[in-house]
Amino acid sequence: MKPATSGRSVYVRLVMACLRSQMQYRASFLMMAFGQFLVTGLEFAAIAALFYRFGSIHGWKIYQVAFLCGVVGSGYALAEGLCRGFDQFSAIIRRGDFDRLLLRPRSTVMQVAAFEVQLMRIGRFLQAAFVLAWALMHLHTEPCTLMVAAAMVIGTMCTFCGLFVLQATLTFFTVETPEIVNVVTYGGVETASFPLSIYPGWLRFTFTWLVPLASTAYLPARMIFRAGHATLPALFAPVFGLLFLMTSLLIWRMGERHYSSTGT
Amino acid sequence: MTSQIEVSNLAKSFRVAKRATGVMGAFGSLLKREYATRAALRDVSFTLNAGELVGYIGPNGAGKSTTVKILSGILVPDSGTVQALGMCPWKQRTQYVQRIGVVFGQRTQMWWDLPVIDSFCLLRDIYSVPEAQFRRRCGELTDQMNLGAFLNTPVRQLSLGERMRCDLAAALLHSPGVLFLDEPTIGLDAVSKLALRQLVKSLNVEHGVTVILTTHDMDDIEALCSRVIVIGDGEILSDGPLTELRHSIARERWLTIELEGNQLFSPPTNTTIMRREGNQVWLRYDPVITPTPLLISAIAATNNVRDLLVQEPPIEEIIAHIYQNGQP
Amino acid sequence: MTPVSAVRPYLTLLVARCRQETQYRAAALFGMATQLFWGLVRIAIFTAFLKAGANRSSMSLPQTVTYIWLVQGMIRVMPWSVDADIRNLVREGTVVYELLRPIDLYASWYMRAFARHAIPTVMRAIPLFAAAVLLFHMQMPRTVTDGALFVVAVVLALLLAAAMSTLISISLLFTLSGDGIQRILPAIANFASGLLIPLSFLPTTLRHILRVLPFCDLIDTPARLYIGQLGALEAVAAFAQTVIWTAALALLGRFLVLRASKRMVVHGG
Repeated sequence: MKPATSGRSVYVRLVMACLRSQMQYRASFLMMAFGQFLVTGLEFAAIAALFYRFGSIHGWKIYQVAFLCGVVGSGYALAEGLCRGFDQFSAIIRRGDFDRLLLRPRSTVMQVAAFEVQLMRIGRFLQAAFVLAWALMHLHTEPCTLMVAAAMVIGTMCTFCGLFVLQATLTFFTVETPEIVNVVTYGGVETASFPLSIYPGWLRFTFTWLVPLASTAYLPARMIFRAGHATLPALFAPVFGLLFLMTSLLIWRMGERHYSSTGT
Repeated sequence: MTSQIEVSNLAKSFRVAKRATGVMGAFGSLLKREYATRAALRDVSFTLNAGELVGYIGPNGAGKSTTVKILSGILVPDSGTVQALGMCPWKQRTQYVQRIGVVFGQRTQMWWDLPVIDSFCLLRDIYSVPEAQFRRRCGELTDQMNLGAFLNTPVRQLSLGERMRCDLAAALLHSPGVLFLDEPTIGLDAVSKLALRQLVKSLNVEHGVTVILTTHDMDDIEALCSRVIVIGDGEILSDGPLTELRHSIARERWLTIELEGNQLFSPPTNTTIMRREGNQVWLRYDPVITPTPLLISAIAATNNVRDLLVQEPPIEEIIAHIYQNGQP
Repeated sequence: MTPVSAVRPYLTLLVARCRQETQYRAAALFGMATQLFWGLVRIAIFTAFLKAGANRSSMSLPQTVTYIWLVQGMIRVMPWSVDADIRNLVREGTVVYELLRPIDLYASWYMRAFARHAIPTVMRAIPLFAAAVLLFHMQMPRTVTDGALFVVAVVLALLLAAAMSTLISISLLFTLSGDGIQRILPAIANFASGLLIPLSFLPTTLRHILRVLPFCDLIDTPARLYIGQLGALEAVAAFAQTVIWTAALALLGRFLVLRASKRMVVHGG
């Protein structure tokens, strides 16, 4: 029997329910969104201060790095907003809430993703979007570049979603996910905000071949800046982010099977 | 009656990680862990018929929640089979859970900060209940459970009793044929407990919903269940009507004697004094060896008795007896 | 009551908290590994910047690298997170009972906060510095004096951080502003303490402003003492500033506790 309500519209309704819940605490939401804006805003201010003093990094100017920062920051903020449930998954398991999700006739991926959508992430997203817009205004931008930028943001978002899913999958196997997992997510944001060429080999390898942040941010940006305009490879490089997400969802399925055969 | 759930030879064991101590231990345990195996279910079989209201009881760690998890499709057993509503719960999980309802006494499935009705609407979408059917069902449940007064109140503002009623309604919106209740009366006050029991009873009687109830509250069992399955250490210790359970082990009776004044009292043969407080004496005896009328007349003949009361031991005693001895 | 017996309960509290903090040794090790990773990333970034304009730097590359390792080691000095136990007390309303105890609420929370910053800092910093010195080009202090001044500065930084942290805990008693201060104070502290960027890399005016605020004494001042950027006299001046700020924040905290407890007594929590 095909369900009367499609999975996507259930996702939307679950998300709306989350947002309505948060709107019950409006003042708190505004404060937290502002706090997010401030945290990442000041991080960017520190980067700007470094450019003010040193002029450039590895041949990249401030607007070029701002472009990277904007893409990675907004991609991350979107992922955090849309997939927060995976980020919080160890708590969901510990509270036994995951069993409840298994008791519902819907895909667990959809339910976990919609579990806790945090509207306050909009603070971080806005900050990153401002930086991106500022960079695009100062760079030589054509409509095509905008398209590539959008593809980069989506690709980056997918990559971080994939990382959150993998991080959550780990919870199926070990009850506590160590702090060290954050190295790849938060560390990925920091690392991918600068041209990858400044890093030692092992770091470049990690964020190129293991986590495809290079192909969703650094590589397409470099292609645009080298060619002086948007290119087709630059538009398609971020597809690796999507592939990464799909792979991690497959691994999630395996983890879920493991969970239901072992329990907690 | 048709059998609705058939459980045969269910077994499940868990690997429990031995916790390593110290810093290096913590690091080491990430790489390689030592496990101990603990059997949660050894060999569990039973059959439930449609429309039954069954109590499933046992001490903590006996395998109650493991069984419920397997029966509700979220845990896969090591061996054994379950046929429920014509399906295998863990293999056809998504289809299966569409037709069951589960209420956990300690956790709500509703959205904490939203009005009750919003949670109902979300569940309508999640379970794809057609709008017309949802409206009718929601109306029925609201009347029956008396939810009208707080349908628009955020869940966090409800009392525990109100919340449990809403949770029960929430689990029934999609008209499941089987309902699992996991300690539904835990923490409730006496009035709410009675109200909830009545609801469960009427659901079972009027709608023919099969109910599986796990609880530690023996009053729940006495008030609701025609049949009780007792599990201990992963095995079924007893399965049958409550009266049968009572009689199989508890031929024993309790006799309370109120004496005139603080006189001496020596128990008749084959009886034991359980307790004495002032002029009250509690005796325990076996009515087959010492028939009750004979005992009473013997006592009345030798003592100045003001009052006498014969009782069956309370159900808690019986259950505790089963838990301790493993066998009825 | 003799002074010793008046102080004893707080010392007992402090020792108990410290002992509890030492339980999280595994977390400290994982934390250290995380900080090593961050340190390497940040060193790559700063090295690339310094290579682009070495002549414009106020710190040499080895000094910058050392500064970054100092930041990574002292990360737990930062007054970031709210004390989870206190948050639960406030959320469940049981904080009122804290006021009923025959001890000073501010002092006992301050002791908790101090232990919460001091013990993790020590547990993470020592192994991290050892690894960084041996493997990742962190320098030792040039003189014994520099090293000694650094240690004093860290102790003062911890006392100051505890005062800030306690202030955040107290802000929980004032719900609305509490949400704000918990988010905004750490954000500003990250920037103004030297955590994100050594303060000497900032434009002059901004640097001067930040060096008057209390945040620079959390990380920047100890780090500059370590890499030998401050003379003895400047060190004394910096210490005096730290002490004054700590005292001022402690006084503010006590005042707020007083107001909050009056309000709680009137409104019943």
